[in-house]
Amino acid sequence: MPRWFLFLERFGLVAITALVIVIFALHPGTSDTFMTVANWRSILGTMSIQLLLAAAFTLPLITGKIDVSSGSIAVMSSVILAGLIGSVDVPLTGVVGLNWMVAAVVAIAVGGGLGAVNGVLVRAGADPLIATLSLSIVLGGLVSGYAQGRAIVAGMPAGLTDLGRLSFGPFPMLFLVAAVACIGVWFLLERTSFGRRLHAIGVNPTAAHLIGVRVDRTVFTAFVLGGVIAGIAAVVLTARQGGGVPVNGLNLVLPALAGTYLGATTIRPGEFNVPGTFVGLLFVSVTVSGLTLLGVEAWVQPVFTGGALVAAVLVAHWFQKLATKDT
Amino acid sequence: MTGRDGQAALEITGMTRRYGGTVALDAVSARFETGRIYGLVGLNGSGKSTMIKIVAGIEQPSDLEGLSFYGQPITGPLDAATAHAWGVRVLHQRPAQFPDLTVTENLLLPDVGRGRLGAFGWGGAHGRVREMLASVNLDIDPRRRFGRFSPAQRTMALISKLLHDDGAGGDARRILILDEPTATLPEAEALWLLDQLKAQKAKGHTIIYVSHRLDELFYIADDLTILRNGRMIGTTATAATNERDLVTLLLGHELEAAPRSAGAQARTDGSVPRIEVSGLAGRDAKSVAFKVWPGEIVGLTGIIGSGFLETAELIFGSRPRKGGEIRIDGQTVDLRHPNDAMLAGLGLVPSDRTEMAVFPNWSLAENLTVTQACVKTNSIPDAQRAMETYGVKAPGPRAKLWTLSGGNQQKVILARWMERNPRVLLLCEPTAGVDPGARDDLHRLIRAAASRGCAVIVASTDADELEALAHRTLVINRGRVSAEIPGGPGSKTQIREKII
Repeated sequence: MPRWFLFLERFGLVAITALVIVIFALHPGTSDTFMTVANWRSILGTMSIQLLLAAAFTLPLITGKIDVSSGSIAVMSSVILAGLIGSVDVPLTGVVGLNWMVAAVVAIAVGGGLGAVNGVLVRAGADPLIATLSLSIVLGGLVSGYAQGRAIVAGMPAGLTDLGRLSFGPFPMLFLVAAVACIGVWFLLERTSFGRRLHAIGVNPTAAHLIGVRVDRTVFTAFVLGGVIAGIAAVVLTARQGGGVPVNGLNLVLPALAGTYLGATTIRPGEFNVPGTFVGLLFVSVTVSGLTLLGVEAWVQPVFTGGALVAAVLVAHWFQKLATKDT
Repeated sequence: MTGRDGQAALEITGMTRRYGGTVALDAVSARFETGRIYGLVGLNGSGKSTMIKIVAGIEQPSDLEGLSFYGQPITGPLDAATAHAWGVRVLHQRPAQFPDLTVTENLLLPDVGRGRLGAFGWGGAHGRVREMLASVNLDIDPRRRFGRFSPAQRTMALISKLLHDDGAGGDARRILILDEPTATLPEAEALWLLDQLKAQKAKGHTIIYVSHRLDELFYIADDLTILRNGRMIGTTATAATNERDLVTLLLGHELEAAPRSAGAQARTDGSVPRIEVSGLAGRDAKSVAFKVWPGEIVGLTGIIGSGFLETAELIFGSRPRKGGEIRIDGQTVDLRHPNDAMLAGLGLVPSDRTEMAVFPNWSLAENLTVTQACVKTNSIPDAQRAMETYGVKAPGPRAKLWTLSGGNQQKVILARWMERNPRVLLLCEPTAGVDPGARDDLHRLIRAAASRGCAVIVASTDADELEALAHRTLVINRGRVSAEIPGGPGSKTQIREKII
């Protein structure tokens, strides 16, 4: 294979994303709104939640176990966080008015606990898709019951909501939190023994067992860590929304999943990889933002995201076929 | 070697296939006569599979002077449909099968036929399959689940499918190409399969048999067609040659004589064995007991299900152990997981490379160092050195493992354990499906490990391998050691007798 071909395969999506940015920056319909600090704050702010959710489910995903519950775990932890610090009378605890940082630690712990539930179910032999989907559905119900169908926004402390508004130039504080988490997950996956073991399990679990990897234990840990990161996503979600909003967690996680699969076609094609996920999510976010600024109707967004995912996967498949043909 | 007046089922002249700059087949000519069995032999990369693919119409030659079936030259391009029409059938190394469907479905799919009302009738289908099976002397119930039959029976059933797949009733002559059909079979089953195949040539079928097992080739083939580095070395009557000469032809030079390491005899002088197992029990193993001293290579063998392979896995902790004691250098150890075994200085090369050992998309270096600290940073110089030490032929340490030949992959797997300087090496079928050149290399590496004081246990169904390697061989029968055979020339006959 010629070098340029491999280069194109790895960085095609990066180039397309850059091209999309240039187009919207120059297009007469968006040139005065797209490249503004406010717009980039909005793009990166939306991405922060998706990045964190992607970072969360990438850990089990690398071992070959899909996890669709990260969004629901984040929503559950978020309403619990809001319930603990807000002035709303919630079931079980009533009005607690806890310090928000202490409550954030509790929310992250709840995330880890729910991740452990996933881990136990999968270890007991449940199919990961069914286990995490079931947990999502159950959590959806529990969230409604806990928040009693309304957003918990009253009495949010300024410390938390300010975090949601704070920005450094075009970079929202929350985006930087997400970026740090992503770099952490990348480091864990690529530069530690634990990460290599996760990869080994994903590629060939039998072989991993036979080189001494404690497969069940490692997969369980991956789900717990995924839950912890979903808990961090809950704190970011609460700060950004100024409270706990009982939304459907599956709707939150699906765009992140799409971005992750899109990212598996770039940087290290054929593998889930954190930089690729970033590119995938950025591509979708900037395109959607530009189209919105152009005045395109809202229904176009999901149609575009779904279409882009299928197109990218097909193109990647086509590249793979070409790459293996001549060997 | 011509001069026989049999009709040529397939005649190839001047077949060349280039891939980019490399020549896979270089003006190869060959003649295959009806009613004979040809052994197609060559090391990996000799061009065997390319030749098969071209004959089956899967690949096109770069150059071809002529190709004829039963004396009829093919003028147009040879595509898969033409090859099929002339009766070319290939049984691939791991043929597709559906263990959970019935024998009938396995043999008739994709077209199970149609009965009254356009619906498929089980009765007629089973009847048809019964006839197909009868033609290969196979008496199995077509209604049963395919997976419950032995691998050899399943292979033979799939061969009957190839003989009948156009509804011709099995009278049509076939050019049957079998790609290592016995690679995953134990010897006794392989032997049965070979006898069944011999019966087929009398029906006018031509069989081209690809295998790395030389003893098999000498048992089944009438002629041997030899390829080396893409060139045709020639076709010779099997009766006119022997294993040693054949290996020399395959390699292009003589095989080095196997040196026997110094610790050839079991040490009964009272020194502490490196590993001692007693009462070892699992699913098949009932109560296995033996001792191996440092520097010794001990063979374990038996039929499938006797527990000889399980014994190695039980010692390594990769299967649940129901009982028994393991001592390493006199110390009792409790190995419940491969990780425990690794810490105790054990290593295991599993029996199925693809399923149990390799990470195909990882680089050679990553596959090699995965048993170390498990971190891939800076492993490239280590891997480079290991490639030289273990004679791994690959473009470089960054090459993806799946791009390597089976023999080179197996060297990487062995190297991954030898790099840890293990006290005990457990090797399960260490050269299964590997060409004679790589097999020789692997055997040399295994002897080197033993000469450094490692206790080596080789669990294998290959009597030739055990004769070549083992200082003594233990036969496992129904979960217990039933015989101990001293190593040395001629021991393979004894091993075979004791297994059956």
